Amino acid sequence: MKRFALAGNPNCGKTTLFNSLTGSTAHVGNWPGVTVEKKDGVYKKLEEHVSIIDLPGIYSLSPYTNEEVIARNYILDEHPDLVINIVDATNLERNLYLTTQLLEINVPMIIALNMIDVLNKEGTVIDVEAIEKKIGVPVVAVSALKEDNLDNLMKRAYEASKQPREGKTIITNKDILHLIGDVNIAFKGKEVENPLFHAIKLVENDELEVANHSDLIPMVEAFKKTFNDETFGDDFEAIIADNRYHYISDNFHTVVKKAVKEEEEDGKKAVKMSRSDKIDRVLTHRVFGLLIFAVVLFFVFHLTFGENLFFIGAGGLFENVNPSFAGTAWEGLIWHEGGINSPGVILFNAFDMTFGWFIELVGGWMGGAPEWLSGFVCDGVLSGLFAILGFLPQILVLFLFFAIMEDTGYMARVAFILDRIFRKFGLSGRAFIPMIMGFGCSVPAMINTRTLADDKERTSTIRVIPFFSCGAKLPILTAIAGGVAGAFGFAHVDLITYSMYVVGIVAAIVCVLLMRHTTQKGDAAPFIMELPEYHWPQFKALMIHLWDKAKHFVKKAFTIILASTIVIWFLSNFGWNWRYLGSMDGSILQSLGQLIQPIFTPLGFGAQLSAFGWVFAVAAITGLIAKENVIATFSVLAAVIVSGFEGTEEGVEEAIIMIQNTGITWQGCIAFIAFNMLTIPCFAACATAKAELPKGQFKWTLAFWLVASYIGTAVIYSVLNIFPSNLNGHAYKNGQLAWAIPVVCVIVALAVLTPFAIKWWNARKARKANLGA
Amino acid sequence: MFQNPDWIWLEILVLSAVVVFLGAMIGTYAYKRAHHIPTGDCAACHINTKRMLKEYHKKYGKH
Repeated sequence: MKRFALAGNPNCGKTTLFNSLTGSTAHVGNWPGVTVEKKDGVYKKLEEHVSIIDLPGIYSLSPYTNEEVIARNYILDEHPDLVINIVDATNLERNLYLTTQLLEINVPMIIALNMIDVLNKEGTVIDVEAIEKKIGVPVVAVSALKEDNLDNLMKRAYEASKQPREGKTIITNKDILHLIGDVNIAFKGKEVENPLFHAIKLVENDELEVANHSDLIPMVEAFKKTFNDETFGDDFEAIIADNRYHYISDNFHTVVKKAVKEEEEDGKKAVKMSRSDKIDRVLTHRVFGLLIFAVVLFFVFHLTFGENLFFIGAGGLFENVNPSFAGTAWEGLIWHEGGINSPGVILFNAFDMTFGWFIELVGGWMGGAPEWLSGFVCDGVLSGLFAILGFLPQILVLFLFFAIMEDTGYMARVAFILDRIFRKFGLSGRAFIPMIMGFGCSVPAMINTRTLADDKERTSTIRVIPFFSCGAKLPILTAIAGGVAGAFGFAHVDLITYSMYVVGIVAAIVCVLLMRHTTQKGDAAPFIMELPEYHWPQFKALMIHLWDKAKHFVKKAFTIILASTIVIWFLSNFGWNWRYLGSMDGSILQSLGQLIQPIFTPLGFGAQLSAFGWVFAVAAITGLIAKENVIATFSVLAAVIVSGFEGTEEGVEEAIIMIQNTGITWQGCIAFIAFNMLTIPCFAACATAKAELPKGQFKWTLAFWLVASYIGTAVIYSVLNIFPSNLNGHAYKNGQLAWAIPVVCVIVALAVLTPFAIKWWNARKARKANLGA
Repeated sequence: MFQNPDWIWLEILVLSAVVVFLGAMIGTYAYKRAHHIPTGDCAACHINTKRMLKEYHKKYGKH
């Protein structure tokens, strides 16, 4: 099978082209022996199948970032049959810089001039034939988004792949060209593949070439002594880059004929702004940009979790209205006394009510079965499994909104807006992308930190990624927030979930700030990112994204979650004598839970709780395997605590049972959510962190997660204790204020002293460094 | 356990299914770890790759 590699600048439409070419076979995978994620798929419309490899987006083949090294190594070492260089036709001259470097490699090549539809729409004309003639490789104008001319591109690519191509350079400086020629001969003598590319890179003083071919450096150094450029001195990298840009502007400025629209503005002629520019004036505004982002995020959460969609229930408008489908199993599906449900809640209710009805049906059928059997099937397997699957629609709705924000180009703007703020914390806006990915899943988010060039910035980012609540933590948030609403009469579930997301973000900011000023000190790299044109989200891309999410979630539910549910049911129903007890009294789980329960006392869900208080400790531990386990554990245990409870309701009902039977306060519930948000992530995320972090950093990262979650949760619990335990009756629990006031005082003192402590720490380090020098 | 003859078949079935399921989960995980095959989320992609290659080899042979 032939292999074609896709190479191009970031945001040039590479992934869109990849998806269009490979269709449903597109997938993301880890390649054996290669440490960076690539995408690969198959194009099937030619006489033979062609494997398409999507390389990371890069601006050059110089080893400044990990992506550039990966792309360069792939093309040089893995010998693809052809490179498809995707060039953004709307930014032709800048994109051709990479092309001039790819031309130097001995590999067949074709240029896909992408986004031609955008140019056509603007009325801009591009001379494709002239480009082809000047560059000397086939050039095909395509639109990856609209799938225009892709078959022609692949046909010409297939033809081009049959002919070997010798690398050539566009450098015109005669003296440097002479040196390159000499080094090229030396490389040929050493039988190095792609001698021209290596020769140019060595002359550029490329660090990889210098390390690999140190024997040829004297030749270059001797030449440098006899050479001096008026502008760049003997900085050959700058001279060669200047040569490339000159070549591009001299040869290609005539091939594009732009349709410049002008409009009168205050009597002067001004270039008309594009639609994207106009939108950006608002969305990336210095002040309003952030506010708009906060409002957008709130509405995303409100549409996903809100139980009072248009806020009309709060005005009492629905007080005397019967719930929808009153008297049936689907009562309150669309609206209830509190108002109209959001789309996320309607879907959630539909799933949940169906599952509840099914469990009831199975329970009725197994009425005469032995107690352990019906308990295991209904309270163990079905309750645990359905409690998790019930959240699937809400997760999909939330990710649909995130995918829309990403696909339209808004997320890129958010990274741009946040760069200004992130820089103050010692991170670049680039770190925002993995962080926002953390809202989906920590695993790909941690892998994505490879785009950060600085190791310390990477370590800091990886450590705070779990604080961005992933999809798996959503059930914990929704169920406990729902439980708090049900048990304490607090009507705004969406406000609790929204606040907890904000808590995660704030915790991440505080931790990054501390790390970047102490153990992970360093300057943030400059953040350069193109803002893509706004466009309507593609239905196909959104569906692929959601399908991927749903597939992974369901697979996880039927493997690790199901296995955990079975184990938890066994531990909560069997004693140390391995006999079935039928209750949790004396069970293995109870004794283990009671053993670790005191650890969580400062966090509000430890020894201060009554009889079944240990279930929170157990749930916190089972959550380490997979976060969905927390609610699955609640579900199994609720069925054991309340005789006859069949798990007909999802996590919310279970959470209410837990609250009622443990005597936990609403502050303890919030603290429990916060602990799960901030603590060690699931096993899969831990394994990824271990692989991605620099050597020796993983053990410190584990310690960081434990300490940050413990301290963070204790702070949240103590601060919340200033408010009464009973939201309606304004009553404080015994010792609540006595506990809260000193802790809050300590927090304030620490907040004041921390900057001084950091200053002292840095001064001490600097002194040590000076002494060492 | 096994006291109600009407339900013995289901009790045996459920116990067997649990043993097979848990055994398969642990066994698969141990095998994958021992043979350096991706586990966790990466495993899904690995399966897709294998299936795709199998389809290709079936159609075009192993060349």
